[in-house]
Amino acid sequence: MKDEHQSLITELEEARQKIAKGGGQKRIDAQHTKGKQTARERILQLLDEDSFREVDAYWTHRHSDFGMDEKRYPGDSVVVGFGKIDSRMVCVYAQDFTVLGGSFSEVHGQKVAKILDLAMDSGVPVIGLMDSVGARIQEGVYSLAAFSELFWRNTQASGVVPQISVMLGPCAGGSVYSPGLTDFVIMAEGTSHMFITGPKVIETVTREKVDLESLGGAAVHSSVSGVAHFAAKSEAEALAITRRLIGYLPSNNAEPPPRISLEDDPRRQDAALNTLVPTDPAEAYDMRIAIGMIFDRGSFMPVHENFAPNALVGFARLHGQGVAVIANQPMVMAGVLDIDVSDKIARFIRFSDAFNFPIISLIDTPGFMPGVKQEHGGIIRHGAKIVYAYSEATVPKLAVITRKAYGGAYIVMSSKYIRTDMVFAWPTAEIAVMGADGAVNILYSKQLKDVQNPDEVKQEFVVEYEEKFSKPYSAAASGHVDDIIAPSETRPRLIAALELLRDKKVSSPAKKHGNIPL
Amino acid sequence: MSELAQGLQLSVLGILITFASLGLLVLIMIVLRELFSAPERSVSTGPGKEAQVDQVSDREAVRKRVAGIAVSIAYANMHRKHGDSNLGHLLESPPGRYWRDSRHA
Repeated sequence: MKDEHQSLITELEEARQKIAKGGGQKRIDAQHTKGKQTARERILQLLDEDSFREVDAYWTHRHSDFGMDEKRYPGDSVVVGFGKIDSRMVCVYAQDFTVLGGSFSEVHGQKVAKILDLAMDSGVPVIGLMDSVGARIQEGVYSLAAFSELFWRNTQASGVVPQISVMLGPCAGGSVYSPGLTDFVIMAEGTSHMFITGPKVIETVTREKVDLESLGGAAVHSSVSGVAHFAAKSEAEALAITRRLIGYLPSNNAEPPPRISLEDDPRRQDAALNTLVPTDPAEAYDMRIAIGMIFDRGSFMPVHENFAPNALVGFARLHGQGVAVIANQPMVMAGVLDIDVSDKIARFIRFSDAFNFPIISLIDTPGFMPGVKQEHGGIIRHGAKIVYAYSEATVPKLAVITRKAYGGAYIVMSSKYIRTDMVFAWPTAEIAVMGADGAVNILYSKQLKDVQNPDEVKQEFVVEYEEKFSKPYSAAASGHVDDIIAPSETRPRLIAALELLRDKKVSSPAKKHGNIPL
Repeated sequence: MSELAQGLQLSVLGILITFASLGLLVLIMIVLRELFSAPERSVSTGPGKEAQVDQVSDREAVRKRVAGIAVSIAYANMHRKHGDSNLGHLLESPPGRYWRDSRHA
């Protein structure tokens, strides 16, 4: 090689070394001291070995106000590119806190917009690794405009390719709306925070005193607000969750969810399922046990695990086929439906429908949560989201009524008439307008007032009511459920139904879009 | 063809099938006997006590073998009744054209 050529290569290598240093060794050390990794280290940990290809690594900002002309770093404050997770392509961007605090500049926005465009054109998921102080104040409206571009693209990409935000640092002000628009938010405990206004502003305006963690930490967002779908103990765990999640998701809305090799017998019947549901309707049981026995062993990945735990939602596999699981959890508040759980279920259904996951619902709910707080909080509007989402979904829909399916909750939770393809009932299923006790109080109020021994008479009425509704046979006799199955038969029956519905095609009336009660 | 002739024909066919099945079973038994033949043992010369013991143990071994075969057949039948050997087979391949076409509708 001639000397001139060698010098060109050397120049390129030096430029690459400079780029790899981001904001400089001092800032990299500071990042490590905080227990955080740099943007490039995170990307390398997330993706398959040697698969990352960076793009736009030389792009710098063009602003000179407030001394910005002396603060130019190649690639600016974000690293973007593409690579593979378990040999499947993904696009990725990672905010680089070592460069001006990862502040969101015009170039930062343009780079992220470009990788989002590439992801949409190519039909691959997008993963954002967030660690930024927010908008770059020195760039003024240019920074805000870049945010707008990102939010617009997040919205365009919604339902086209899966979008995941991994929160590994601060995220405040307007910048929170990008993760807020994506499909999944994963937060690392201790290092990541999300809020519109920080503790100081809150104290000034409302006199409320709150610390950073209690305001917008991973624990609060994954259990109280529901902004985060997953909370991880560390950065490494957050990235591991991302990898596992990607394993369930199709690359885009035109693909079915990826299959995995089969390790579980499709005909497996767990006899323990037959005795899982207590015969006393007041006694609780753990729906997780049912999920574990019905779906492929160890395949359930709960989403929003700590938020609204009176229902379980998540991904699982049946004979290797990815499915969305929605289940009431009788262990928490008897599996009642409230505002938060309505939002949780409806959002998960809409994602699952957009990305071709068959929806399997396990139902045991006594109804909607009564109370002034719930009514004034808009339980009507929120509860309507569940029925809207189920009704709108065109993917295969299967339901198993394990015990209580009362009143409005029976209707909204994947009942036959909101076009659930197949509804199964266990012998323990109770399908009624309400529980026996409440129903008898209403139906026989006059008779019970007139008798001398109301408790004994009421008990007789309760027994009569239970005879009619505490077993699923009358519902099956009138076609409201498709079959009554032994609990242990659930797995093979669901697999057989999925086989039937594999190529399901439904036509919907032409419209611009529906108007879900938000 | 008269009804009588048709009846006779069916009867003969039925008998043939029955005897053929029996023949097949006999063949299977012979093959199994060859495969699982009892180990050779010393033949006693006289009608003494030793010969009687051998005969008893021989009958017991045959009984055990028959019981083993019966259990295997019963298990296979049970499996056939309750398990669709092709269950889940359709999920092992991606959705077909019917589904794909609906994606572009």
